[in-house]
Amino acid sequence: MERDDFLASIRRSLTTGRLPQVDATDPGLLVPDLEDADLARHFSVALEQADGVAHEEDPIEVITGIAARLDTRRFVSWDADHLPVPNLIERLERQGLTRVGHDHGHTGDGRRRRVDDYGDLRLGITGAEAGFAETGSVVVRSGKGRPRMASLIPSVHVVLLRSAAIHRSLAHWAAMMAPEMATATNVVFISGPSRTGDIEMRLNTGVHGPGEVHVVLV
Amino acid sequence: MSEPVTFVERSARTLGSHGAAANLAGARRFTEMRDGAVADYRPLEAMRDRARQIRLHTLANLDRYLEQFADEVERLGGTVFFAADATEAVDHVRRIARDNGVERVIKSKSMISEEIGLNHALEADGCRVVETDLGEFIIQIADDRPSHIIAPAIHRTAADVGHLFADRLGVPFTDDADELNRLARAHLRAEFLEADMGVSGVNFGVADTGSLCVVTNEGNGRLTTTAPRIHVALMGMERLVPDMADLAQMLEVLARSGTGQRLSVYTNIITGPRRPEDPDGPEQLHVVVLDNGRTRALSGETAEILACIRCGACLNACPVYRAVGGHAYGDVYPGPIGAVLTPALFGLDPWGDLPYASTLCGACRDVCPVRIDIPRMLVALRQEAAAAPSPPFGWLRPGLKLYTAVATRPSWWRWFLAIGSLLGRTLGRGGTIERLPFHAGGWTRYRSLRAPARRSFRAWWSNRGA
Repeated sequence: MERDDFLASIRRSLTTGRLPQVDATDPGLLVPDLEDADLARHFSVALEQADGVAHEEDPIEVITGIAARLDTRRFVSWDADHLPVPNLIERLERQGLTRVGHDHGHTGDGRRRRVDDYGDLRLGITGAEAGFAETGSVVVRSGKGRPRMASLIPSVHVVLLRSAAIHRSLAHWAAMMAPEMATATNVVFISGPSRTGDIEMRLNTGVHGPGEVHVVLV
Repeated sequence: MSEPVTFVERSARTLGSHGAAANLAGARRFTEMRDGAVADYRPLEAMRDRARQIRLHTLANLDRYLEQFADEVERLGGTVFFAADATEAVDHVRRIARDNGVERVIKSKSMISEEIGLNHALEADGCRVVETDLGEFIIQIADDRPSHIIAPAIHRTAADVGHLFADRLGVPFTDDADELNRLARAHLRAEFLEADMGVSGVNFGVADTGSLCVVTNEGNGRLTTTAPRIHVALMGMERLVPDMADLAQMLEVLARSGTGQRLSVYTNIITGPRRPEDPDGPEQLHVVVLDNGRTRALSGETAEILACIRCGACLNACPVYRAVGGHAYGDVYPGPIGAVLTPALFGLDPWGDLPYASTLCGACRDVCPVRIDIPRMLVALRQEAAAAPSPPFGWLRPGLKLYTAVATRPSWWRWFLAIGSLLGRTLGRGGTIERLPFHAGGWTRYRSLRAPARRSFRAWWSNRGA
């Protein structure tokens, strides 16, 4: 159907439809009144309630510890200049870890390389531009050097988050940053590991996305 | 067995199955989780008011916001197709698949795709179509239908699923939920990496940026919209908010109402197809905006139902839904929302009995994050159904005629009261009637009827001086 005809039929419906009247003035974003607690502590508690893990130790130690436990040496990550820890990739590679490719494209060859790189990948490392203390969420933005799959395809996701970037809640952050939510192809709020309750409402983690989310506060 | 055609017949089928208990337990659990989430959230009532205002304002200006939304999506390099009905929508998606040589399609949960019957059409064209939401995947390989908006397989037990996986995926039987989840992950992982096209629903479209918000807990919504080279987003024409601040506002109430989470695990905001600097993501983005009866719903008493954000809270709260489950509602949309939406979209014929599938207790309105007045619309639809050439219940019109005749004639009225008193005296034991005779026996099978007074008020009044 042509767009103009479609919109015209909506306009016709609106002339007869019974819609309850509402105040037309836009009061802007309502920001909930939350306790002004220690944001980093509040964030860690909320993340753990969402079955994630918060760390304050040295990020290299955290990551190499996880890699050893997972018995893996391969990881996908954002480019070094988008991570808040200097030379992180170089330092991990010095510890014997290997970064896999992430710029595969959608050609036949790229697809084959992607299956090789991602098929059984266990570890992904990204930064985050903000955190929400209320929900233990991190804001992960795509772009140059920041593949979307890095926070999605591995079974364990390690996020490096600056403590100073923690806000009280989504609403508090959005009150300032709402327009920025549309300036990248993808902005995702991640609140703990992938979960499902689809079989008898029993909670399970990691059904599609990462089954563990570790946020390292730096 | 022929397909049951009335709500009562469909309900009887569910009530006789073991799924009824699983369904009830699930609805109770969801209600507990929602209650827990809203109990420690003091601003809830103010947020609900604001959410309602945003949605009703959007509907009142829907033509304008849709136009803005479409302009923005196109400016970003995506396409927007306006589909008047299911056939147009399905044909368009088939065309995209054909033009791009698509062989494998993955889907994240989309009620619209159920509404338009997309899977079978793509399969008929030779595509392999795989549902990736775990509940939908179970439904798909069982060739069953979803029974709950956010927990489609709520009526199936773990043992059911175990047999199904053993049968269809060729894995050893287990009824352990952890193991079943692991099996599903392993099976679906390959599908994600091999798919050409991902089809998703849309929780909210953002008018002034052309963004799409897709909310999931499993991460399949992200994989579907990230891994394949083509992303097709199916959106009901009403699912917009004006801007990002409004989206943030709606997110305050969506997950709390639906699953009792403060925020879902993945709140995914997509703005356009992959840009040159992006390392991954789909190269093509196609948005399909669907009418399919929505302008019809918008043109009358049921316009308000389009404010719905599909959280599912009204299902879990509804005493009728809890008892009969989602399949009793016949179409894609179950529960109180379905009892209004299905006849509003597709007409009272054959859905005239759905508005009666409610006690009008108002529990749905009490939990609705946008305060939709579902009981008001149920009553309006009942009025319309009763006035139709063929009302949903054969006894309805003669019954009302009889009542009118009796209630407008004092002598007949007194006579009927006398019958009532007689029944009370003969069948009543200790103030209640335990068993009614003949067809009326159904009423007293699981409950007692309060016996009519032994003497009517009128009789007492006229004799009060004596």
